[in-house]
Amino acid sequence: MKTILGYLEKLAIFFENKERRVEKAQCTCGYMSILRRAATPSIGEKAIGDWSPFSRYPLVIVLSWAITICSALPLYAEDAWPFHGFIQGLASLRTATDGPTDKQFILLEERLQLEFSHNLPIEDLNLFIKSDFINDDAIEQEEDIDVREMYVDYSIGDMDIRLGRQIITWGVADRLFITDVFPKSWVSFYAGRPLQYLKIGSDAIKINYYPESLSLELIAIPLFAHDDFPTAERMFFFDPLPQTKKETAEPPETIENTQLGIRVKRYFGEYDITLYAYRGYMLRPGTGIILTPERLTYIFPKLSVYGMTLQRNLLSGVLSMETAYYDSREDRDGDNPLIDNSQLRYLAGFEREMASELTLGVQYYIEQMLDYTQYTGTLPPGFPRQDEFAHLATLNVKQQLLHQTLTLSLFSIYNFNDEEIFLQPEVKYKFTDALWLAVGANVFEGGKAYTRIGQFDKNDNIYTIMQYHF
Amino acid sequence: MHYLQYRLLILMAVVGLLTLNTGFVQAADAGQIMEKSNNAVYYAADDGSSRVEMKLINKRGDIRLREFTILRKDVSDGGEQKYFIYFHKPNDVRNMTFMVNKYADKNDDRWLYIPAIHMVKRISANDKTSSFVGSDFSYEDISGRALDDDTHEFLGEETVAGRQCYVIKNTPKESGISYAYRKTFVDKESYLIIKDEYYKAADKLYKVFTADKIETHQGYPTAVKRTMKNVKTGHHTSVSFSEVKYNIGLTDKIFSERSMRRPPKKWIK
Repeated sequence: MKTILGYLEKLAIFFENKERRVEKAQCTCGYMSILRRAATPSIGEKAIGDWSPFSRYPLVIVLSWAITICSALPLYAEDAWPFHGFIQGLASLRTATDGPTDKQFILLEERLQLEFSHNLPIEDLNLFIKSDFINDDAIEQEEDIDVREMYVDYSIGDMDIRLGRQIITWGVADRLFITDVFPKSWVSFYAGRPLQYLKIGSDAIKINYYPESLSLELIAIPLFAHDDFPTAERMFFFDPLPQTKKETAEPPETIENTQLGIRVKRYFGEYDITLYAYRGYMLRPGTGIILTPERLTYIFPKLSVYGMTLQRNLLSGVLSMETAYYDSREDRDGDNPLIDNSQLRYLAGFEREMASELTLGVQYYIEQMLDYTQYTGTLPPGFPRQDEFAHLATLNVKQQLLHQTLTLSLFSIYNFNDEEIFLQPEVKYKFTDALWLAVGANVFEGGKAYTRIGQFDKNDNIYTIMQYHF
Repeated sequence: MHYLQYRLLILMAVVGLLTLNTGFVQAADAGQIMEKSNNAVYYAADDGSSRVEMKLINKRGDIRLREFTILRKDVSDGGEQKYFIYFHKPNDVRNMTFMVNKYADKNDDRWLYIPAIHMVKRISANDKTSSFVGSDFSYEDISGRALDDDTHEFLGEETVAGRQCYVIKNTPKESGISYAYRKTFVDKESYLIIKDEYYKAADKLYKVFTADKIETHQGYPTAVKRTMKNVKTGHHTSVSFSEVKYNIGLTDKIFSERSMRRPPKKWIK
């Protein structure tokens, strides 16, 4: 009995020493259940109806508890614990009142992200897995496992090879995409998930080679993955033919269809200059469609991108420039109204610390449609007509306070053509190193029912996130 | 009479010159002391590495922890330097890396690697007095301040923590710095800074740096325990350096985009 008590006492001290992590996990789980409770009336009877222990405690909750308790148990030395990640509760509530009530929550999810890294017995071979376990109540109680990244790293001489699912980021622009041709999640972006969820992994092989003052990256993506579509059950967006049945047709996964990318980066002292080339597909929904009387099929037209970026210090800040030519290979003449034309994209951005802990970033972006006469000439009557030049500007302001525990931020995109604006204010507070809470909003104002930002007007939302890291 | 007046004039001139001269010597001394100190504090050996534990402690005693490995290579003593920092803790910034090319005559080049999206980005470096990772140390307190940015005045000598120190007043030439001047206590023997008092206008003490423990590694005196305390808020940051190593042969290749994406296992454990 004494031994047991002694062990319990030791355990209690251990928990205490582990920065009371169980308490914090409890706090996050508690927060999630409060969010769920609050949401119950709006998500129908399903959530309250079934009280069996398994539906009440979805996998993510059970796993979260298991991992937190295990991490606090004295099984591993402090630095040898192989799992990292976080538990996250997120609710994103639609504030617009003109939609059906069953879509009141855009997101209502509990998420456990587990990260595992392991040096394999062969030297220089390293395995990395990052997987999310999700329970989403916004649509209907839905459990999901999302393997965000899973790859093996191997290094030989000046070369690094990465094989498997991986997130690839190109370009220097902030939340506008020019040379970044890899898949993205627009739902995450518009509904308040943290920034890392804006990117989706690619199943690829990537080789990085670093000869003297040069950085070379070669990418081959044999398995196709497109941007995630905002689905009609989760979000409102422009649909020109609401009555028509929708489908998506992915390109067949053949050797010839492998997406290829190459990036060459060079440092000229204070300049970073990078060249990019990509041969693959347009991954955004609506860039190509096939229309028959019965159905509308979303396709992913062939695309090549040739781009360049430059970054340098300027006036105590950082100047970024990015430009690219989009070669729409299935509509080179621009006379197919159902496939996006070729484009030129230009961006200039400047970021600077204006005062202590206050950062300001501005960007100006131009998107030019090529073969515009052919486009206007072949556009079917009744279809909304795009401008030849789209002008957008972004603003990003971030103020950190209280020793960087409190962050106030505002990100905004303004579209000059359609006089519409997207606003994303957020307040984030770090209670401890491991636990933070954020409250923010996504606001879509102006424009029309079919414009870039205006089409999401009915998705104005406020969101709250709590994250506990372990 | 004339003769006497003449001699008096000469005497006055000599005394005047002497006085002027002493003043001049002392100013030069103050600058030389700060230069030696700068080399001892920020430029010891040709390169070095250390694991750093930073505790951010608020008035209530709540502790936040930053743990990182820092690699440094000097291009020239008192001049250009390269820094590489890998974060071990807290967990939400684990695997993040930060690289700085520091220059004597222009703004730093700085890059940050964000592991969640595998992105290396250049970040702005106007924040000379901005807090380093939320601590009471500014970026400048970590990597040093260019000597020419201050005027140096010799105030005298004092004993601090049992060490004989020179006391130097360092006043920034430019405005827009978060303090009016620093009163720096430099150890006469090691030239390390034992205490540094930051004053706002009207001689109001604002924050205090102290070197709490000094060890000699490979012949280089190193302050392995340091504290920066904000007198006004009571917030303080205590730092301890472990695994201190000098002259380890860091090559330029280590300070590269490759290392930011994949920290070199030999140096980062």
